[in-house]
Amino acid sequence: MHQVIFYPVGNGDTSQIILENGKRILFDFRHKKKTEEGEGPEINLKDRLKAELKAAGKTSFDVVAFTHCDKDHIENSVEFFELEHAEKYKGNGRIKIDTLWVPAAVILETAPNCDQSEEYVIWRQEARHRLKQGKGIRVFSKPKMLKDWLEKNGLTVESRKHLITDAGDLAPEFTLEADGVEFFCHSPFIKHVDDHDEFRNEASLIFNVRFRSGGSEFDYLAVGDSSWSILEDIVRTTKFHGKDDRLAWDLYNIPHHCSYLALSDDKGEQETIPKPLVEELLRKGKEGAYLVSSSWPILDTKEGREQTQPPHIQAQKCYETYLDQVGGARFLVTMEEPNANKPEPIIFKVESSGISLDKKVLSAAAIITSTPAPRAG
Amino acid sequence: MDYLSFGERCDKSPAPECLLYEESRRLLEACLRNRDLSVVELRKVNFTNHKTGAVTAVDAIIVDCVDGTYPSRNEVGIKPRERLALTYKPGDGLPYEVWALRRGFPDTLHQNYVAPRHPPSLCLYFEMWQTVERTWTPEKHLQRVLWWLRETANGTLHRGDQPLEQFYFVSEFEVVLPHDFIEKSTDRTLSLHLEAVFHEHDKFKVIRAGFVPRDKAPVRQALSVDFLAVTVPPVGHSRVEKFPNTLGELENQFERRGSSFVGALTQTLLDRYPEDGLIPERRRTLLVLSIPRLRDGGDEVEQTEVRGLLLEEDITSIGLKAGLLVSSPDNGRVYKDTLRFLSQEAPKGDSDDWRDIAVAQPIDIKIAVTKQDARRASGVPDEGSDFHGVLAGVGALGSVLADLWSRAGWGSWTYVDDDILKPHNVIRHTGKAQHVGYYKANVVSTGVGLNYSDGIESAKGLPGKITDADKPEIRDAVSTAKLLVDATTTLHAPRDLASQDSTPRSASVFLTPSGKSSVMLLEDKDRSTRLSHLEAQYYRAILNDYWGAEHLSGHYGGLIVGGGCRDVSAVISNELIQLHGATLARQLRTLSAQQNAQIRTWQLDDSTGALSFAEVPVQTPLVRERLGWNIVFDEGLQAKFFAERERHLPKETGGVLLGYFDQKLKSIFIVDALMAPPDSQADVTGFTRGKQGLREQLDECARRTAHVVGYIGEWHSHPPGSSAQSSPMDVELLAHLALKMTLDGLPALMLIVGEGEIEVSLGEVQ
Repeated sequence: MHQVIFYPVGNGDTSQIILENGKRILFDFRHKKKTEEGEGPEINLKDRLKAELKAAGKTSFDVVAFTHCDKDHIENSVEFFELEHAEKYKGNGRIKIDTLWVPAAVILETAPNCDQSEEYVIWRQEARHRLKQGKGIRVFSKPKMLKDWLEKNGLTVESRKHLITDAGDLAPEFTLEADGVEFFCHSPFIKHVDDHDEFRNEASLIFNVRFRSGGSEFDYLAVGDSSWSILEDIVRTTKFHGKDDRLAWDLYNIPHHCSYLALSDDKGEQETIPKPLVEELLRKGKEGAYLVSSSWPILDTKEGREQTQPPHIQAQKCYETYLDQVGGARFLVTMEEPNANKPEPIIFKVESSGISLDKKVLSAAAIITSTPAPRAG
Repeated sequence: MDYLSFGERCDKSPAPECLLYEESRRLLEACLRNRDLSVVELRKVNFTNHKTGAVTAVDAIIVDCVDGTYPSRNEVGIKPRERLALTYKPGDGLPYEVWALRRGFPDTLHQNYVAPRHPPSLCLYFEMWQTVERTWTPEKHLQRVLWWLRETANGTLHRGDQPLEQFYFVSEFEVVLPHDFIEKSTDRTLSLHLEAVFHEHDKFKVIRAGFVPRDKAPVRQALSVDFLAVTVPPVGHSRVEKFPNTLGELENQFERRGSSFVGALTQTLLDRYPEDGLIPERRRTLLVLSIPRLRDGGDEVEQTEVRGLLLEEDITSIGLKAGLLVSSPDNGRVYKDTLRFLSQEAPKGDSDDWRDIAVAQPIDIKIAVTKQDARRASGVPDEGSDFHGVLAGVGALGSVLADLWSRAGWGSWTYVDDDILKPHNVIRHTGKAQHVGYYKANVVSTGVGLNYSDGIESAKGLPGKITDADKPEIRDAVSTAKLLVDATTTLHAPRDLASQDSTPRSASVFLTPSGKSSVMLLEDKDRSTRLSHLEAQYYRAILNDYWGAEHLSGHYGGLIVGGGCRDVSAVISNELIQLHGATLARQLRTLSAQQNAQIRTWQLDDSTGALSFAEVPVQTPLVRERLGWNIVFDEGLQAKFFAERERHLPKETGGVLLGYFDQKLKSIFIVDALMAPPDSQADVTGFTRGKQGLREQLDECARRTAHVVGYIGEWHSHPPGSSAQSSPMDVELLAHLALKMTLDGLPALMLIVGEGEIEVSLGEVQ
């Protein structure tokens, strides 16, 4: 049984794949400082991940992938992980990363300076260090700028080829045969890294993660932040290469905290109408599929409809419409499960008989008695 | 998704006001609060009562259920999202039903039988609604729905230790077949007569069936039908099947389970069909299917389900349509072969027309219970249960024992009683007012005969006294019985029976006069300790044990008719008869399987209802014959004498002997001995029994034993080294006693305890 876990970290992203063979792939990291003081409702991610690793007897992740380096995907990560490029980031209980996955943009100085947070810079140093060392890293896509950077640093593309994966290829760390999983890279692809340096989101990692368990295969569309136009490009390109099956999904980590912008440029009054190729992607959902929005609870109120920041209720309605059409199971929000007061990670179990949620069904009495009762006066 | 149409959408859906009932609105609220459900719309569904034709409108809440807890591609085929209709219908039965609306919702275990064109209905509760409703809430109901989906999807709804689910739903009607149906089902000369048991007008539920010769016209309103008993190859565990409309549908159901009935049907029909053919008739055929059931993964038959289908056609028509029979052009008879006429093609057995034979009515089959069934249901082992017994005395207690043992399938009994049922007997007897005036023996044998269908209960009533040796049938009954139970509540019957070697192992059971206690005396298998011996030991226990003080109290009640200490013509409610009857019946049944003799008594604490139990250790009897009398005592009493002598050595000691005479048996039973009164004089050479307190002791003895036990003689011990032989002084004493006792016409008894021996002497005035 494989697991896919989505952590409740507000409007931010952290998810993890735990393979049947015990390997762990963490996507993004967002830890809120306030949770260390017991403040919520977001989860104390550091404690949670450390506890999970301890329970599994591990001190490292096999892979940590930063889909892109927006703050809500890397927040407080440099104090959690062990970084190899400087002594001060080593030891002291830090969690090791066997292989770091980043889009090429992280290596390059493609973001405008104002967006280059301190942590972003540190991760760029780390990624560059690992690439120079020639180990413990995988870079996705190789735009010309990456080649330039390599040459500038006295390295050849040839010498680092094994550390770079282009869109349309599989990341070589995992295979269906050995691990029951493969990662097919949809994004970033050259065009966008080169053309739109200012839009880091568009250069984020997007994978078709294909699981195998028993005789069954399942497709997980793992999308960092993205926009409708990127998705349309992906659909267009993937179809062009005749790899339509890589667009199908049993599980879809929907982009950018359920923003309408991942569907269309028009939010819509009640429900967003997706752009044609995005609609095509939504129709690729398989029967019994799940959608996950890594976001705050989505309000179906006037305020909710009018708010600028995601999540957008109009987008949710759009997703649910297509989920219904494909006979999908459910749209889930990380900050709503099992309730908005004290959300818990959403854990999907992936096994030959299908995908299901690992959740406890408790009686009221069991719930009440699982914690101390409030003080009586 | 493609959904079944079920009811009409309410105009104002989803406004709660469009629901008819408050219960539905509460359920709707719970749906709206449950995060795993989303309400799609509200509908109304019309249900038609098939019998009355009345139409009831029912609220339906249409919901999509997704709790995600079961795998999305489970083999059972429950989708992670299922659309369900939650209905509420006031009235009888389960008011809350849950219907699966997705077209293609799988056939699973634990679905309810539904009318044609209705969606599948989930069977959520195992108990009756009257039980369920005590803990039912709308919220729990919804959890139960999700639980059903989850467990069904995971294939864990039906636990391994649960009984197999039956193959067919319960039919509206049931036929009770004769107990020997299986054996007689191959008899070609018989047909079944079906007689419905009508409640009112034309309503019935149960049809009783009996065998009659096929050519005999049905009596009264009975329906004569052909029948075919068919055993199909074993069928695995499956969901409950709907009853088929035709034989073809039936065959399809079996084929889907890897079985088939048509081969078995063909064989049965040919086996049963008479050689000389039959004339086709307008009659129906009862098809009785025995369906051996396997648990999944096993090939051992766990149970055999017997189900019936009433077919619209007679046996000749079925045979013709199956191509097994052929119709003679000469006389219209239908034959198995063409031997009896020419110019006709022989039947080929390859016709498929039988597939269209209509099923008129599915029928539940019940087979009349046998004694084996009764034993199984009662937990009574077969071993040792098939014996002939005699129950002497079928009054209040005896009639209860008779009925309990009959229903448990224990023994086949002859009831012996010379009494006639009187009006007041009915208060505590299993006989009814209509039986007043008849012999109790016959009333009881008739009564237990009704416990079973004809020919199963072999109990016999013999009016007469159990001790009446002149009646050969009573003598025979006793001599052929393996067990005799005396419930006569008399003193004499058990004593008389005990005295005869031809009597089988016997037990005596009775209630004390107050009805608070009951007593069982049971001989050992070899009859070395007989009822008469046990009786004496029972009295000793009454005299010495704590429970004896009030054991027989109430003896002098105001309603005394008989006067014996076990007389039950007192104020005793039937509750007490039933209570002790049940205890005695069960105890005797289990203890009679053991070797040893028993003396047991049970006392009721009326304030709590608790029964306390006392067991009296049974002692080996010792018998001496003197002057034509049998003097009976036992090793227990012997030990008491030795101990008492020992205690007083080197002096002598002695006292009064307690017991009773039985003139008929010429027996003297020594029950107990009183110790030396305080004013006695004893030394190393002699003993003079005093009298202080003796009167009180004898009064108490009479009181405790209902005047059965009293003074019968004297005992004393001899000094160390002395035998138990009478000294000249002793002879004088005995003569003195004999003289006194003769006033009562009784002999005098003297017992001497010597060194390791006891001697009894009897003195009679000639």
